[in-house]
Amino acid sequence: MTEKTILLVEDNPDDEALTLRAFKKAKISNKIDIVRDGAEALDYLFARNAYKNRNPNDLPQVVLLDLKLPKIDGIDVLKTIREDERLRLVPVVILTSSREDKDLLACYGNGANSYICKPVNLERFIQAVENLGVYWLVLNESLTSL
Amino acid sequence: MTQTSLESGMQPYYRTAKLLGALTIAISISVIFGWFLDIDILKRLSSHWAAMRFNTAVCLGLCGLILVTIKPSISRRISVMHQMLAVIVLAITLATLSEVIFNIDLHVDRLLFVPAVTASGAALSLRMATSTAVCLTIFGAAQILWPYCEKQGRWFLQLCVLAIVVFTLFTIGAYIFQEPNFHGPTRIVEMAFHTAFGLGMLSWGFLLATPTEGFMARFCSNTIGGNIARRFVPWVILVEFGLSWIRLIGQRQGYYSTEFAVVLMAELTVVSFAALIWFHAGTLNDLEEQIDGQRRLLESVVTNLGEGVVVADAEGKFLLFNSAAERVLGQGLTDAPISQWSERYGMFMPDRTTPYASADLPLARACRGENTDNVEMFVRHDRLPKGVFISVTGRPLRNADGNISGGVVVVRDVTDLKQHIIEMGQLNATLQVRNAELSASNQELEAFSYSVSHDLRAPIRSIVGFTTALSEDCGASIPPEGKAHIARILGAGQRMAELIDGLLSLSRITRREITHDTVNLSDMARQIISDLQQRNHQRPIDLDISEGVVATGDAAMLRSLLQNLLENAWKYTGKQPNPHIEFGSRKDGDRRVYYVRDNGAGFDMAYSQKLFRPFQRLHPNRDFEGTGIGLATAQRIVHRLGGTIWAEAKVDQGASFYFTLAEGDAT
Repeated sequence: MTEKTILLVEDNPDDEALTLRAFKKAKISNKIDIVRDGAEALDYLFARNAYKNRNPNDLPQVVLLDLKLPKIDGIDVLKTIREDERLRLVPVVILTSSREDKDLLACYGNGANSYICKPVNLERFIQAVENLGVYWLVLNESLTSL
Repeated sequence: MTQTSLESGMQPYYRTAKLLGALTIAISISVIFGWFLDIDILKRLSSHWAAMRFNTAVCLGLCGLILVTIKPSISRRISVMHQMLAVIVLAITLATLSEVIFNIDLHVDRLLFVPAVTASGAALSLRMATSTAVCLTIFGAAQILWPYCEKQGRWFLQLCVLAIVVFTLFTIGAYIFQEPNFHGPTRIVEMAFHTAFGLGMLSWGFLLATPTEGFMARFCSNTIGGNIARRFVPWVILVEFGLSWIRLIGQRQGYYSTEFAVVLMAELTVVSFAALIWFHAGTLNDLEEQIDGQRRLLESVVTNLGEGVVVADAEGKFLLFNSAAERVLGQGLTDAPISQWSERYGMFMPDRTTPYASADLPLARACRGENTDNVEMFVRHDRLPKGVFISVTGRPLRNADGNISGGVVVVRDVTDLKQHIIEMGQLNATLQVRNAELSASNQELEAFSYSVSHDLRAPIRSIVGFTTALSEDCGASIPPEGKAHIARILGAGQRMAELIDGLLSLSRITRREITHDTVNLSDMARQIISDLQQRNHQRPIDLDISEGVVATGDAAMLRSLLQNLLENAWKYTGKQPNPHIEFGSRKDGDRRVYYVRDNGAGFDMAYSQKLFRPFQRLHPNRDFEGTGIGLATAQRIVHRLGGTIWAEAKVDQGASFYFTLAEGDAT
């Protein structure tokens, strides 16, 4: 368990590029695995199908989850994570463009650790990602490191 | 009328009966004293008259005792006492009578009192007068039998007692008129004057003490008949006795002949009764006029009543059928028997086809003593081919005895009402459809908003993000002109994002559910201004926020409202050397008006109509940045909270925004 991996679940390549850019700008150098939809995210986390060679106990340090995803949407991915005995303690940060109260409530209600509304302004996005990195990757003691 | 109220009106008769009883006792006691002390004047009033015997005085006293203790409803103990007193009286009188009839001496006259030998020395008979004994026997028997008698028996007992009254009246008259048989040494009738008087009072008292029974009921009743009877009887007695006495005196003095006396007597009687009758005829006429007036009033009320009224007697004969009933039912009264009513009047069940059973009609049921309320039925016949729906309420009518004497129904035409209800039902159904449509379109709107929120922002983010990346990564190779273009792209993207956010927040207000909180608007305003100052490098501002302005409403919406108005004020005072923002409230009638006032750029009131429309701006973006959503949002919030918003302004002299909230907010 040398490197703390970040799992980014994002279907929009533009947003993916911008997020990666924000990580770089925020000087977060962790390994970032990217999956393109909800189903793939679950495959990754459960180490099945395309990811069957992955070590299922190698859990990401934090999951960055978009809400609107192809196949299985973000809320369902979140629910599945929280229902699984092994995965339920993995921090999940919702990263979305929705500012709807409804979405916010659904995320926190299903056990999201944090909710970030993607700002249009890149500066502010970088700021947000920086805060995220400081908290979830540096300050927050993960269970795996104990 | 209930029994108690009937008897409470009879109190004066009982009181009079008691008084008569007391007077009789007084006479009795004085005579007993007369016998003990041998005072002749007390025994016989006048030396030539018969004396009241000791036994008579005792019996009168006992009977008087019965009368003074009489009440509308007497206890069992008093009732037993009455019976015992009556038995004692009866024992004395019956013993006396048997002495007379069987010609024996049982010494009844000396049983209670033995007088000293009188001055005259004559062996005076102390036996009660036979007529007195008969009268007292009748009285005592009536008293004993009364509780065991029913209606007719009581009639008979009253008649017997009345006979005593008549007899004593006769005796008194005979004494007054000095009829020789009653008067003086040769008298054959032995009843003493005060015995007659006492017996008369007792008997009359007995009759008055039964004011609700037998023939006394008519005499004592509070009806016109009772009143007239009570006036006539004393008048007749007074006039007849008075006139007779005058005639007798005149004749004895030899003022006129017997013939003249008879004519005079007849004449005076005629005049006196004519006067009495004439006087009472007037009273009766007045009464009839009153009754007639009331009858006419009731008649006109019933006739002009908007609702139909039909009255029938217990046999189903119509007694009243007002014009409204005729109009509603399409025909007036007929002589149809109850069994044919349904057919004759075309009565159907509300389904319009099943004939109504005549016996079940509200009037038929009312005539049987049943109440019915708002029974709905349908009426259709030749004269009402389209038919009408009616609502009928029926009540039985009762006579004074409480027996059913018929029934009354009130009939209302409810066709229009029913039509209205049907229309209302249809309207309601339409409304429900509309409501479903509305809720569907609301859901669409929500889906749209969601999609805008998520999908529309993504491309803008890309545009802004990659343009930023472009300028950062390749900034060195871009000429200044290109950098200017990039700046414009970034500005436009930023603005587009703001517009989308504004639109979304506007739509959120429409969709949000309202809560009812008590909010301190003064604190809220102060906090909003303080946030604004922090964000704008502590720009100096002259603030005037009224203390303790409290409102009732949705806290989040009120915050958004104040935020929009104060940010507006903040923005438009930006170019003012001495910016001033004021917040407060004032009472206007029963509503509270809140205001936010500034001394900023203001606007031309000619455009005030456009002020609250989304994306409408009164200032170019160059002067004051903005999306044109803020005031539209403010207005939508105020409307949702049940109030109104308006503005007053002048160019360069500042603007004032006023708003009210829901009616209950006024405190």
